[in-house]
Amino acid sequence: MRRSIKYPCEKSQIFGALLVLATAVLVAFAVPVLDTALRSGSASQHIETSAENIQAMPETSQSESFSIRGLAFPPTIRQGRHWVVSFMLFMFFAIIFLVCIYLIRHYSFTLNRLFGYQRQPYLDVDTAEWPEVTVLIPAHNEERVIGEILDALLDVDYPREKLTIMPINDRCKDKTEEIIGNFVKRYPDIVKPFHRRRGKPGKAAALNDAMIHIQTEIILVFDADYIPGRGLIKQLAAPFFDPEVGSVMGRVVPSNVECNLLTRLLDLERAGGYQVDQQARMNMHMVPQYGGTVGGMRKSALLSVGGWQEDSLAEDTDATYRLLLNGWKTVYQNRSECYEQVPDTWTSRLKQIMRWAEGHNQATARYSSRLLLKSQTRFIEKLDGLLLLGVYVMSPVLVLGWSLGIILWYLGEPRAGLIMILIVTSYSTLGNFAIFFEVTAAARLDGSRGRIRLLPFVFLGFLVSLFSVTRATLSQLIPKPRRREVNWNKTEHNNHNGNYRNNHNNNHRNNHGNHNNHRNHNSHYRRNG
Amino acid sequence: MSLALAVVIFFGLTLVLAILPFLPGLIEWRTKTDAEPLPVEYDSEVNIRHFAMGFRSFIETYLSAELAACRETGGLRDGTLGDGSRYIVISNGGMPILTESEMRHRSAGKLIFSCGDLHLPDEMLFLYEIYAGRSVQGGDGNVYRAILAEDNIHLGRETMSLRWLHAGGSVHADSGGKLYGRVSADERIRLDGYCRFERLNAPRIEFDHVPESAGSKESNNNNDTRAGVRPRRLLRPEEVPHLVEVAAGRWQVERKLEIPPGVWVETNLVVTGWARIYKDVRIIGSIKSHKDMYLYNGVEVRGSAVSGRNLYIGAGCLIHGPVIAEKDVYINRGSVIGSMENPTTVSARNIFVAHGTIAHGTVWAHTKGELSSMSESI
Repeated sequence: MRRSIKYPCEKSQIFGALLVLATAVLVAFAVPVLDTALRSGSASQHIETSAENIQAMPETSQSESFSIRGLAFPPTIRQGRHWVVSFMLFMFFAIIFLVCIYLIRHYSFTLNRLFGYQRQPYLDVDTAEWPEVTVLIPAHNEERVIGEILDALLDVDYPREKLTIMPINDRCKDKTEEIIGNFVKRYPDIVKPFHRRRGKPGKAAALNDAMIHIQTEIILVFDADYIPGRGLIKQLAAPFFDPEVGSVMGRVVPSNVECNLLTRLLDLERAGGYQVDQQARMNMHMVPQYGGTVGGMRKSALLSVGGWQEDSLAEDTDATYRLLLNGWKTVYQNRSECYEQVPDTWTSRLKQIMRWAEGHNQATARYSSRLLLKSQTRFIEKLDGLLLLGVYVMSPVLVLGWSLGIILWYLGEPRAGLIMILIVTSYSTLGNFAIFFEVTAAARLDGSRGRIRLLPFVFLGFLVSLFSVTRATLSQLIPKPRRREVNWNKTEHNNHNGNYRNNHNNNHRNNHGNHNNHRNHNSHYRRNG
Repeated sequence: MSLALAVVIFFGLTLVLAILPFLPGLIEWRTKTDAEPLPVEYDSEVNIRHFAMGFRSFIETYLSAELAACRETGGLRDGTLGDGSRYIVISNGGMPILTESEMRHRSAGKLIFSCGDLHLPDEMLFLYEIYAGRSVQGGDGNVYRAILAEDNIHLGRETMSLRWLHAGGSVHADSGGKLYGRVSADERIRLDGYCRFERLNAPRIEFDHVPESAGSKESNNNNDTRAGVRPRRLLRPEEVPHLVEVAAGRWQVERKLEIPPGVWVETNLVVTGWARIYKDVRIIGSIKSHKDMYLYNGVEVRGSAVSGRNLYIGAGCLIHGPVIAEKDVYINRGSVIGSMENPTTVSARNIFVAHGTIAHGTVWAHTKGELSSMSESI
């Protein structure tokens, strides 16, 4: 569950994406007319054109019309287009340059993950005087799942006297409060709920209100539809022995993989995003991202940077950057895995990706310049932080690049190879965090077999992400009459945790029933990771 | 060939080429050969006793009757497990009966179970797991796959273990041992001479001979208050060069940190370069350095010590919390890590420990752990 905004239905999302594409194509055809309007009189300047594509060459009289690539243009088109085309060419090159930077980034991440030294310095801390921890579970009408996560947390391998479970009942209207109440009766020393009756809507606001009731230095946050494993609390608490660590993030693993094609694609995408992208950033001392769930915060660090930002659409990204700007590190723990239910309908997926895009873009606007100017932040962190902030902005940039490519081609720009470069690099580079090399490497590291065959279908997810993010980003550029309110929204699922339960139980049985379990191939691959 | 046919063939071939890469994916999508959620394992990775406990439950399931009969009537039993592995059950105090071929090849190819004590000959390779209802006394120069003993395990000189060892009491390895994999004991582990190790866990881990009282709560308290060790004064932030920020219970220092001898600090310390903490300093908090960290003789850290590179711990230091280095850790003679009441973890790529050091909890060397003589001070 994440904070979000109300969105229109899926059809309008797709319509919006198609509209963007159609607009780009229309602009390509409209450029000659625009060019005419913008001419500056420097008629002697003319564009380089390839002879085979131009039927009427400029040596004809200026009063005659001519055509390029089969399209007829008025004679005025040759006049004054020099600076417009130059500008478009400059933009086009700039976009290719940007895309190539991301391409290099993702190549380096993948190569690092496959061949580099893997940093997991806190994973081995299995014995210690464990700190007191409060586990927050923000919940807004979560009657279907709240019981499962509470059961799972009560079963974790963590000293009971050091653990507080604080479900945040944020104005629930269903049976969530009643279910929480039953747990409080049974475990009054551990389960200490926070009932929130009023206040601003949204997860960040709920977390902020809960802060005053937290007595511990370490806070872990789980959304209600996640199921933490037995060792997860220790694994997430361990990095806080490092006094520089302000937040920690674990790995999210989809549990409803076999549901449909979308869930299978999201499984690959999540693997690429966490197994490769996040871990490589951890390896390279860059900026792993706190993801808002399956993670934790040092309370004093969070308070020192202003707590949760209630007006933020992505309080997790926001917190990551505020901590970074104040000298705190975010740590990614690749082996701290937790099952989640990924969206199983394209509607909820579109909503999710657009929500993330808007929140991320908001963080980009707030923190990119501050990060650039911050003298105490290391160069590598600045670079990665800026590139991470720009991930969602790249989608509209890419659409613009494609549009420019088409326009330039129709204007007679002969270097069509550039368009191919853009297409290939953009295909290889973007698609939310799931990049094709990264997905492949992640499948290898996870010891997966057949699922990598679905890789060509990731292209579908890439296109959906591209146009959804573009639409979300463009919509943020349009001034709105009033500020939108941050609200609760849940990723909808058709089924719940059955797969997790089956899988969990199987693992449990395997781990206790067979003394030769250490020969498990998956373990081998993933331990090497 | 007509133009229409050529066009049809052209588009047909194009379509085939476009669909071809999707075919394996389409098959996988429909057949779901690899659609299970990624297994999330915890116990096997984190719990050092996982395999030992698995082996014990295996014995309880399949061999409890044999062992009970052995305890009552003594004698020798042998048989074959479901997977074809041979096993032998011997009575208390016996030596396993090895065939002539096994003796000739110095290699025992069967599981060995004892309902009591077990004595093992020298210079043998034990290819399968060994279980003793009480103690195991190993000979010199042996190689073991895995041993579970309900009481103590004593390994002879130049012994090698490949996967895991667990003792309900203590594990004692004589000089020259190479303990790969996991070694755990419910009471203590002691390594003598020049041993190598990877992952150790016990309430008390002794590296060579140490006084029985060393590392105890009383001893640590005495160490705190003994003359000449007690820090003289509190260090103030303005005395620290390159200090850039004091916030949220920590001091953030740029480039390098040097704490003069004989002071105490009540905060967490983070330095972006190297750190030198001179003699008899007490840090009531944790310390982190991005580069090398040097804790000189007699330094006490109440929290954790974390280094982005190497961590050098001088003689007689006392570290209460986890010791973590991304490269190597060097621990000198007489240092104590953790306590019986609050065991902790030492984790690094390589760990070099001097004789006379004590650790409580886990010592985990990713690549190599080595017990060796080191200079008295750094």
